[in-house]
Amino acid sequence: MLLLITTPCYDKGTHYLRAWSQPLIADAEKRGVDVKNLDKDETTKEKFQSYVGKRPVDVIVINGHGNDIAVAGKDNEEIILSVGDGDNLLKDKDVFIRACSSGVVLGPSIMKNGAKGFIGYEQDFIVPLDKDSIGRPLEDKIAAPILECSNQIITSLIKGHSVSEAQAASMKKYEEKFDELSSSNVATTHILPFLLWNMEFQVCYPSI
Amino acid sequence: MTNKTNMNNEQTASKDIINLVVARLESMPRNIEISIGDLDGIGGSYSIDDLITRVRNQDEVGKKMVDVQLSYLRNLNRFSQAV
Repeated sequence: MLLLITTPCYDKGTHYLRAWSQPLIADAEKRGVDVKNLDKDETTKEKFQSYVGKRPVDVIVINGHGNDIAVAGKDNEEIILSVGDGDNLLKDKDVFIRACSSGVVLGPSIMKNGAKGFIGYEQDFIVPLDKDSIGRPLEDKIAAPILECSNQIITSLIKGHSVSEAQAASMKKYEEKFDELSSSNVATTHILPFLLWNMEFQVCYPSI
Repeated sequence: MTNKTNMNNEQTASKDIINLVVARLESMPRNIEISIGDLDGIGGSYSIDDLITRVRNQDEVGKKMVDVQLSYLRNLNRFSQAV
């Protein structure tokens, strides 16, 4: 299996997504998955589309900022994939775009162009953070529940599961976290609205 | 953009709803920040006090927080019974 993962890092949001991708990259490599990581400033449209166009990538994970039709790379000006620009390169691939609104127009367009499966979000992907943990994102107990639930998608995909199975595993994790946080201390119950929000708007489009 | 439960962007929440959302935000610890990964207008990280001001002013970020909290309250009972 060949995994392509983008990890830009230019603000708090991407800093967290990049940090929470590191254990997944390590896990994939441990499992014998070939990993191509477009990291930080390497996350350009040219590098992304060139790699996807030339190499037999099986799973694509894009971390970044997005909207209905596009997702960004190394900064908000660097659009690496959008409707009509690169969405035809993802044929027969499983794709997870961890970015706001990626499942609104871009996801369906990727599927229309022959992708094997897609997971994304129909709304903004919102993550609460602990300001005191910005330097240690993996130790941030406020951000952890949501990022663990979305990380579950990638864990499932690198195990060779389908997008439907990855979505189901992620939903199960959301339910477990909801249960855990509901009976938890006051500080973490504040996360619940954001946990349910991301859960409700996480969409999966399997190929038919 | 899909609107499963959220308000239309042109709608403004009633004063009661704004007060409810503000009260919920006011109860949040101030070490929490909210990061929104939107590529367009509302992307960024916001402190709780900033969010409270934005909910009161009903700008786009404030409306989004109303959407999040109302969605939670609407789904809470259904979800609690499901798990």
